[in-house]
Amino acid sequence: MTPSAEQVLLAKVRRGDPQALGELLTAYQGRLYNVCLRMVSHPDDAAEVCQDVLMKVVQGISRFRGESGLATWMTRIAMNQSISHLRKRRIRRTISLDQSSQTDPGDDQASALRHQLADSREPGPDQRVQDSEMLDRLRQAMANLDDDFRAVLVLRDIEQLDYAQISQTLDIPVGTVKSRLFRARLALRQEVDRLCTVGGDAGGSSGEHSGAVGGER
Amino acid sequence: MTDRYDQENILGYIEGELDDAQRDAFEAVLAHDHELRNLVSQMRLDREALRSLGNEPVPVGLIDHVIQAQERSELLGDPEAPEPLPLTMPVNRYKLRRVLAYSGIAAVLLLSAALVVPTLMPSGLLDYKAGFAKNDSGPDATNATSPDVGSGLAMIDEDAVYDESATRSLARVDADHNLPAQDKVVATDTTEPVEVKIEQPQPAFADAKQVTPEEQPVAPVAPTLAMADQADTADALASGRDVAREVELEEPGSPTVTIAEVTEVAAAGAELILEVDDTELAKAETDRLLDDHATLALAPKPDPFMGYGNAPVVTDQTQLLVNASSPTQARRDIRDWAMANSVRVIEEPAARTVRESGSHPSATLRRASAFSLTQAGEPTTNTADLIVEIDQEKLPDLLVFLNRTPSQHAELVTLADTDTVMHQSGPADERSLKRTENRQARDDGHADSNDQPKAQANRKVDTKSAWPKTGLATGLAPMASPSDRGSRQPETDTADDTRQRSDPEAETAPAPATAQPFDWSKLLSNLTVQPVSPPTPLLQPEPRERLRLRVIIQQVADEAHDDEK
Repeated sequence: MTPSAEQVLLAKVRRGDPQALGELLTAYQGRLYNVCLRMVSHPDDAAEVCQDVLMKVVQGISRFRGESGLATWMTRIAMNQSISHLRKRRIRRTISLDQSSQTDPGDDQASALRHQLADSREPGPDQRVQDSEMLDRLRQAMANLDDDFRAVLVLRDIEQLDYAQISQTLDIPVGTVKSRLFRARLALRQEVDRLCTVGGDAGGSSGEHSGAVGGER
Repeated sequence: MTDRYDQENILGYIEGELDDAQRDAFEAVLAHDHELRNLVSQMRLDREALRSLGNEPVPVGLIDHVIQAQERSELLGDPEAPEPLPLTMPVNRYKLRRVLAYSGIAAVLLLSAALVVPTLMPSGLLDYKAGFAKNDSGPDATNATSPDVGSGLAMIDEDAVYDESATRSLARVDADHNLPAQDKVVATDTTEPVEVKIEQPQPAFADAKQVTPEEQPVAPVAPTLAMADQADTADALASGRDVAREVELEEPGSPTVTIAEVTEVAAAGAELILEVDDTELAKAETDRLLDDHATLALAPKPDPFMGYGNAPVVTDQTQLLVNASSPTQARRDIRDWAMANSVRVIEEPAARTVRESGSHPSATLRRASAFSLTQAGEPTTNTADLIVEIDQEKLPDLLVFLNRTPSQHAELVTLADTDTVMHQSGPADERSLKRTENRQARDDGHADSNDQPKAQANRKVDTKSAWPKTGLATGLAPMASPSDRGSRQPETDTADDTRQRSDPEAETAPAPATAQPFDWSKLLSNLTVQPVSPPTPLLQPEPRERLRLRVIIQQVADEAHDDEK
């Protein structure tokens, strides 16, 4: 969408044009959904979060002053909403794992988490080729990353934003973006290596992995 | 491990942001460091893999859920739901409205008291006071001399001087509120259009002192507004000249009312166009301000162009491009001229914005201007353009004006016939076509309707040739030779244009600096004519919802002057 078309649409939305609002949301829903999906790593959760994001967009578009791009502003909402969702889910998951550990003392938190992550993988038996395995491993590694690292990787590599846009979206300095990006790449690589090791271990447990990968923070 | 290395270099290499020298240096390091090379390679692979993930399809009905939730929240008023979408009313407008409402109520009460109390006096309700009067000779307003206004009614009680003080009080109330005294106001409609009809004014007292025309307020607006605007308005009416101006007062707690236009309406009075923020405010202002001697009606919506001056609605406008060394001064000059000559000149408000988008003929005109200046050997730098739209009938006067003054900051460069441009753009504007053809037939001396089929057959050529013929020759004359400004006659022969385009020598011959027949074919070949339409206010500030009200202010009846005499 060109900036001028975006301005026209925005003006119509501000005047209360529901059709323009529909067009605006339709234009950006794909981008926002994929940001949410890469952040929360589950389609259903992503749809739920994306719906919340779109509601917040509708709610706050009157306060959008145009200091940043509309897409940047929406992406920031998506990021915040996704991170908020992940935190809530983490709390729920911890409670759930604690409860399950009471019922099944032999299953530790890490293995429960691994099973849960494994459930979120989509590949079927026919898709177990090497490339798809690599992509799945990459997705899983992304899911295991710290939220901040995952956010900067999503924005940089998947959304392909530049440093300035990432800086605006995450509200951090450009220098921090660069250093965080490097550490995120490093953490991702380490996590992929770890998953490869775990996968090659024929189902062996990875007791070392007990939470989000933070890399060298 | 990476602590040993410059992380920024590694990241720059992965992201492909290093220049050649930096990349060569880093690759030299990589060549000797297997571990680092392996890490960087894997990071680059991860980066490419992430980029290849692509976008997943959006679940069906996601937007529908949002829209439904939005509608549901609007209907049910869910506190956690989003706010309603229409957002044209800023939050602080509510505060302003509250203040305005209280101010309006207070003003209405005061005004009502000022009108009702004197009305009750002659009706006998307050006549008992007269019984205590020492002097029961009846009202005699012409002898009112006391300057004490605030104690006017008090003097009735204490001194029982009904005749003088009551009348004096009434007169001063009128003067203070800038309103004549005893008109009846009938509000006929509370929704749009807002209209207030005024019945024939009748003086409260047959022999009451009448306000002279000098004292008669002209603009019955709020006191704050009247203080600021009355003098100018009165001057305008006294001089019998039309005035257009904009005065916007934004005092805290006071309504934002713009006096957009003040025009004289026959001999009856003045016409005042107010612009207010919204309809409710307009109604409040109507009740409070336009109580007497005023007819209020919705004025037509403002022109999307920024116009000044006033004149009858024009139907055949010509668009001009004025190259000006000082556009501001040129704009001021043209505005002064327009106001002095009662000519309506419309200035393009967002020329720059629209020019950038290239969606307006201004871009075309600008190209034409540059091209014509180059052809005429004139410099094209250090100028800015100003595009105005003017009634064609007034065009010669403007040309004279622009060419007359040596110190004029503007030079008229290019004119374009709006109608012809519209026709050239392709829309089926038959009226425009008709006018163009008729004009051509008139110019060629073939106004006979029998030539219509011929004109239709040559429509394309004729309309093209008509475009520069209408104004370009006139406009270019001063540019071709400053000493000959205004002396060159416009080209009127379409056949000459056609011949000129078909003459290869005319196209290849260099254009001399002096006045020469202009090669329109080159100009036309460089033109992409687009429809003339008001520019879309894409990048303009968000327009406020404003209501234009036309207020016709009636003067005191002539009988009053006769009585006074």
